[in-house]
Amino acid sequence: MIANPALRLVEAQWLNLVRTPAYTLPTLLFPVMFYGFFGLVMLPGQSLPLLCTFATFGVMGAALFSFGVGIALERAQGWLLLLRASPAPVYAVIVGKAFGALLFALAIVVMMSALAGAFGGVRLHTHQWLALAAVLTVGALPFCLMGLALGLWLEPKAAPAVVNILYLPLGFLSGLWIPASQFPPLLQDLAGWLPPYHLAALALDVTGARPADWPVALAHLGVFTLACGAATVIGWRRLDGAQR
Amino acid sequence: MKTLLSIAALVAVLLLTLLLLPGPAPESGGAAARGTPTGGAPPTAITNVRLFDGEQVIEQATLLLADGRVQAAGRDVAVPAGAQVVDGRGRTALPGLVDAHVHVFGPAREDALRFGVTTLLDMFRPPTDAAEYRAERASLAPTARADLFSAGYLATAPGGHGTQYGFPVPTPTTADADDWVAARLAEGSDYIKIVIEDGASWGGELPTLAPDTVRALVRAAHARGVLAVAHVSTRAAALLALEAGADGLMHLFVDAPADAQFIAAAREAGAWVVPTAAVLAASHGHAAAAPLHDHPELGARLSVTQRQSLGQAFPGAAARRPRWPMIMDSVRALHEAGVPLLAGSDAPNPGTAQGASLHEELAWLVAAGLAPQAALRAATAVPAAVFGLAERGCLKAGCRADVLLVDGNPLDDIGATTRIAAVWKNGHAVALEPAAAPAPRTPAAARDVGPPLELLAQPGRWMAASDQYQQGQSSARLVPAEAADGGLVVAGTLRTGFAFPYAGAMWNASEVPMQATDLSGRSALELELAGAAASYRVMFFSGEQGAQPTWRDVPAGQLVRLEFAELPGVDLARLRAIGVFVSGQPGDFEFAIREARLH
Repeated sequence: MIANPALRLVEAQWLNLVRTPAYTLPTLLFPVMFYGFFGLVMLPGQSLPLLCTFATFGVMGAALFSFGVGIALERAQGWLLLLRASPAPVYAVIVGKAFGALLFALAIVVMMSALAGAFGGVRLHTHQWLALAAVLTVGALPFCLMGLALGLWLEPKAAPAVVNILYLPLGFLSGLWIPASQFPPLLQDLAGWLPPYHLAALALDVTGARPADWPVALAHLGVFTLACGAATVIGWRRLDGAQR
Repeated sequence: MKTLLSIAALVAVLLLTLLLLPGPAPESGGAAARGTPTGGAPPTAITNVRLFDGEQVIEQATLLLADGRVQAAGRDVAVPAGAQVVDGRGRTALPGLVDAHVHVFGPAREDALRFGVTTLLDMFRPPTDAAEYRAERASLAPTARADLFSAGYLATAPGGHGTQYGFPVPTPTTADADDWVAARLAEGSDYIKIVIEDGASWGGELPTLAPDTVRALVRAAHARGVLAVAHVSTRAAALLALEAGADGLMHLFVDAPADAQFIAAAREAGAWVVPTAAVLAASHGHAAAAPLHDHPELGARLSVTQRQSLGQAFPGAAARRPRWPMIMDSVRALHEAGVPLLAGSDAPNPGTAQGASLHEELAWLVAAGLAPQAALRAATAVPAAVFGLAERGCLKAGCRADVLLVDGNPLDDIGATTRIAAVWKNGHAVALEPAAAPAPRTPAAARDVGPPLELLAQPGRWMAASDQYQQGQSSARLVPAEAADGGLVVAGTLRTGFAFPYAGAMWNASEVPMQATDLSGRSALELELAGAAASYRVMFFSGEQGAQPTWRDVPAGQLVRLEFAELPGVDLARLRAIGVFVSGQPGDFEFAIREARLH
């Protein structure tokens, strides 16, 4: 019925998510809960900037885990091998996975936004709410690539641990939990070199919380995307050689 | 197909949720939509500004002021034609600040306003002009003075803290507490200030109100629907105030940390605290005088009066320095426990200056651990809520158009509050420079002031002086010239009965005692004293009538030179008198002034 292989894999991914709520729900709810604690309960009055940074954090997590850990596990289970043996083109595999990550990203942003609007007193124009969701959903793509690269390079058993050890410090050091402006000078300088910092900057800009330097932020994210793309390509080729 | 429909449905639900999320309040629908407000002056629009409205921060906002009030504040405020537009890019608009603990004398209200402090909560002053300032603060007319709320006379024991300033203070008893409160409210007091001060924190002993009197005063104030606030400096006094039902403490106590028991009591009582870190810093050897004098933003705009109070120092302040970290820790502990804190400077006490010291207070609060936004709330929304100042401490439609516009972002760096770009009071821009800029101190060499002025050659200008002038018990007399073996001999008796007993002699700068005389250009006072005491206190009376004197302790038995360059509190253009006093241990005394000359 559905001829397009990409759509087939999107469908497969959807069924995968729907049929494993034990995975899906915690992944969705974890960042939202985080925002509830820090953005609403602990630091009232900072609801808007923290919405932007914690949503960045959540979106980044969804991308890194569904790709990084997911691909590594599928490699281990042989699913990736099966897919590669099937007529489905490579791009369809990626699209199916990316669909899941982006759906997660959108759901996280929307849930957090609803929480911020209902309990945090955050008031934005509709175009700003939409812009926030758009920036962060599209902004999840570079992190999907980062996750993909990690998933291709990491040992399946090591993947969850390594992704965590990258994800949490990256989020913290990018000022997603505490604004980078409150960091000691050395860490402030470091934050400016981290991709999540720049994605958060764009989110803060479109909501009017803090103006961003768009060319600088986009340049950082672009270079980051290229680097992750290169790592992915090399990782894929490496897999071709290794998987015999 | 079913799957794809489910996906589409989920995405649609998510997008729909976004469309339904709340938008900004339609503040722009206010005055702007109705066109240019009527009423003379054109409205002022501050555009593209970071707006702290007393609670929240709104980026890239527009603030529209007209008819003495905020007409609209928010992100979608239309600027009406004819409005005077102020570019707020890179700037932050704050509600005019509230200083929750000051004493208003002389040009205090002008000085405060020039530093963005638009509302003053006075905690003790003679209530002679209550009708005047009450009418002024109800008005939305242009003004050069901060609005004033006042406790009027404070409640203290006879001879207690508050009676040392040279004017009589009516004192209450347990039996007449209700009448005493009624009398204050009839005079125009806005709230009742109760002093619980036995001097223990300051190395002295002072008569203080009995606990029953404190309780009766709080009851009487509450029965008449006004706040009862307490001066304390010890933990015991603070606990007494809370137990008596006082609404708030006007100082943080300094003899002990704010421990769990106190914090629990404060929370249970729902009490708030004005830590007054600025004055505590000054009384604990952290005098802000030098930093504020040399402050890149504030220093140049200080008036003579502000410089004078900054130039003074508390006796024995340096010795209390070790207590300071505990005070900062207490502020942090109270804040973390959720006890509301209000920003107050206690200006113009020694080492503080009206207006300027509230900025210092904000910096202390942040240093103690408050987020900058919490510190700003302590000077805006919190005092407004606590003291029921409905239209102050906020920048929302309907609030009074009292605005402090600063360069930079004080929500990141609290020091930015001192980078004052503009101040509006009742919607009108305030002149930021002092009315009469302090005359630059002319170097002695640049101005010929003639030969040194021998003060001992003017016997008619000298008079005995003591704390009797302020209802103390000490006495002093000048020993007749024949009996003196050189110089001027002063004898007398120092008696307790006053907070800081003193007695000695005073040289008046003019034929009329205490009349201001221009002696600018003089560079130093040279003095030699002979007597049994280890040191004597030299006081310079200058500037405004009744201003706190600047003083220095000098040793006896040697020629001492006091350079005016090192006494920034002395206003030589308006020098009134120079006094030499014994203070401290009670008993008979005698000393001689062998040399006294002005260079």
